[in-house]
Amino acid sequence: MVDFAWNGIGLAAPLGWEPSAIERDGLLLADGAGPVCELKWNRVQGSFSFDKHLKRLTKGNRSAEVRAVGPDEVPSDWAGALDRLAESGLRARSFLWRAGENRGLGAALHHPGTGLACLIQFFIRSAADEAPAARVMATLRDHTAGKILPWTMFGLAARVPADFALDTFSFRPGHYRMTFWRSASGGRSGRAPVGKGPGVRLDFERFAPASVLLKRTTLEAWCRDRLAHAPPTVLPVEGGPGLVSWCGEARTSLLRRALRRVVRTCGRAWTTDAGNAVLAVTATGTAPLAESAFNDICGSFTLVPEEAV
Amino acid sequence: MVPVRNEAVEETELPGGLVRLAYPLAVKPWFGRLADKVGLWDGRPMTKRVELDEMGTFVWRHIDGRNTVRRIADAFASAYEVQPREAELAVTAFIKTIGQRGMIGLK
Repeated sequence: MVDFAWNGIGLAAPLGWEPSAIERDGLLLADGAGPVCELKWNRVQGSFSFDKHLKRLTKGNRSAEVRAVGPDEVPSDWAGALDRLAESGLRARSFLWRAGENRGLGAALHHPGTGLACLIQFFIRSAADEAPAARVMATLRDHTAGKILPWTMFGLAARVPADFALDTFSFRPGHYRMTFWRSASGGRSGRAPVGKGPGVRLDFERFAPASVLLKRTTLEAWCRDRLAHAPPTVLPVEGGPGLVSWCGEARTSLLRRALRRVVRTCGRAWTTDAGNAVLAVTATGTAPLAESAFNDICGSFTLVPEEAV
Repeated sequence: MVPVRNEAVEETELPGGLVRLAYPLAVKPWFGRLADKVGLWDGRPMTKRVELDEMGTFVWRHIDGRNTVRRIADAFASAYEVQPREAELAVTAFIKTIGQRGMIGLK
């Protein structure tokens, strides 16, 4: 099984299931034959009505026949998985859908404590797909209540303070990047963060293959040339061939000092022992990030061999 | 799918183990007629040269008319220790690019 943890949701999926679409609050997993699992989630305030959400689902998919079902109408493995989720506080209502030859099994979930509302569905091609769906369902986790959010995607793992909101992300061959933003006020706003105003931007980057990228250059020179938030030329970089770090003022002036808008930057980049990659974490912004917090974040950023999970 | 090299592509070994490829440039007929009329082209086939980096050279060397795209991606993944899916995307993007330039075909 491979672990995925994305923006507050975690689950473990069979090795062949890979993310084929990633949204801020959504995941679509597919295997070689097509989509197998889709998740959408949100945080809702106040009460949550399963009936209302399932009715909305029915209305939004007129081509499919969607119906809510009780525990006696779903496979026993699936019912067992929902029972296990109920132990962690997640309430669930299952549904079935059918559209021509295709059918699916899913559930609407809600955690009253955290406000997480999640819609998950599995594409069932044959009866043999029901057991893996139940196994994956049982691994679903709600991380939104914690002070630290775990992130695991495409062989990268990190632990990020929950007050940092996901800003942008991209996973292109050779370069993976996730950016988080925390405003100076510290709260997680409901709107997408735009990175404007006082705050701090946290950047995670993974470059590969390191053996090629660093063939004719040093890690320091490469970081200055290639990182999204490279260390300013005036800022000294400490470290050796396998790890460099820097910390200081990136943009400053008398006016910025007077307005308390001095941009500080901290960064660390290192080559991994296994995996042939360069990992880099930078924190840049007008709101300072404690050194211990930055060290913890850097320490948590690592490569995860998929088979080892 | 098995990529096959265009026999018209000339390969030159460069110092450092890289390769330079010279391939015939496909000229659009209307452009050829226009270039001919204004005296910019004498009708001989035009060639273009491209130097591959280390990873491009690796893939090019594995294009031998027998290796499938998947097998090349597997070799790439194990040689550079990148994820299999990442290698697959990188290799297929490269093969698509050189395929569009007429340097290879697919069988």
